[in-house]
Amino acid sequence: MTALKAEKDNDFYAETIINSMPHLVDALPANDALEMNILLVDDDDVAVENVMRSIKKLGVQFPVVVAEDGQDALDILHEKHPEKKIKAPYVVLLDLKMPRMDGFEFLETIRQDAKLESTVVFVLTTSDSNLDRAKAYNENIAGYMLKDTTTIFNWLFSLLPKYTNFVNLLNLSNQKRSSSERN
Amino acid sequence: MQILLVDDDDVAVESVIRSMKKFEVTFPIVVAEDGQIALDILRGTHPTRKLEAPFLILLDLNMPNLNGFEFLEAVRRDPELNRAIVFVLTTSGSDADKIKAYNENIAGYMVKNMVGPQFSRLFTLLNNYAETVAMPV
Repeated sequence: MTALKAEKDNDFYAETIINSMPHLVDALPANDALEMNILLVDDDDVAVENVMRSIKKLGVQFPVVVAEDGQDALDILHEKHPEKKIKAPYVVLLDLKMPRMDGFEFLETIRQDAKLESTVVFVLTTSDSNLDRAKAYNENIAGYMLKDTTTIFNWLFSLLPKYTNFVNLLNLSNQKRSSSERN
Repeated sequence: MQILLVDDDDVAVESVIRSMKKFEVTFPIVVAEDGQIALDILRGTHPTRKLEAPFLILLDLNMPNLNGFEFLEAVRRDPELNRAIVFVLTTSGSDADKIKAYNENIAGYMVKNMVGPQFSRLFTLLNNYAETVAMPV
């Protein structure tokens, strides 16, 4: 898909969704009620742009940090990246096919990492293979989503605001404090 | 999508079921009174209750027999059940409980009094979830 086509599709879906669901726009909580950061792990510029435009279009203010591959994402999560920082609470939005470290390798790595094992990860992929879906759920992801504009909109516009509002995400600073209290 | 609701609290279960009717949510619900009954249902060994895929699990934590944490550990160790999507729905707002639950890779931790009135927000979340996410196959 070209960038121009992605943009047109994106605008079309944004307008369709907003026009068809004004009650949902009204029901969106005030932005200051939303505390959620997104770590978007994707090497595909067009997909990243699609998510960014969707966020801008919908007026939801989830800060997004972009990682180009799994290794880049690990560096950010371990606070070893020279420039990029992510604040808790966050969810990871993970592509599967990437160079250097792909989505499955990233999932395996964090699930074995005492600091990152509890991370909430949604997969966003072009792969509709049952095998990939099963492999991803075996790493206990929170949801597997096909990478199309409607799904991205649904996730950002409907699911994530509700998720943010009453799903209690883990705040990693709490985790550290509680661990040290136990020790 | 079906829902396995694991909760020993009759009032909570009744509230969830009534609320589903009120909000015209049509997810079939199978109820388990504790973690052991839930495991029996998931393994297909329960004499009467059956659950069909795709499903997600709504799990209370404080239960007799096999509690929510013990249930989660058993699910994550079982290669047939490991991939299940579990949301915790509990009265406990304790950080320690939240950490323990997320360490078992739940999809979300919800405190019961935050999803009211009458669990209405729960069903909007589940509806959106079912519309957006491709469930385990």
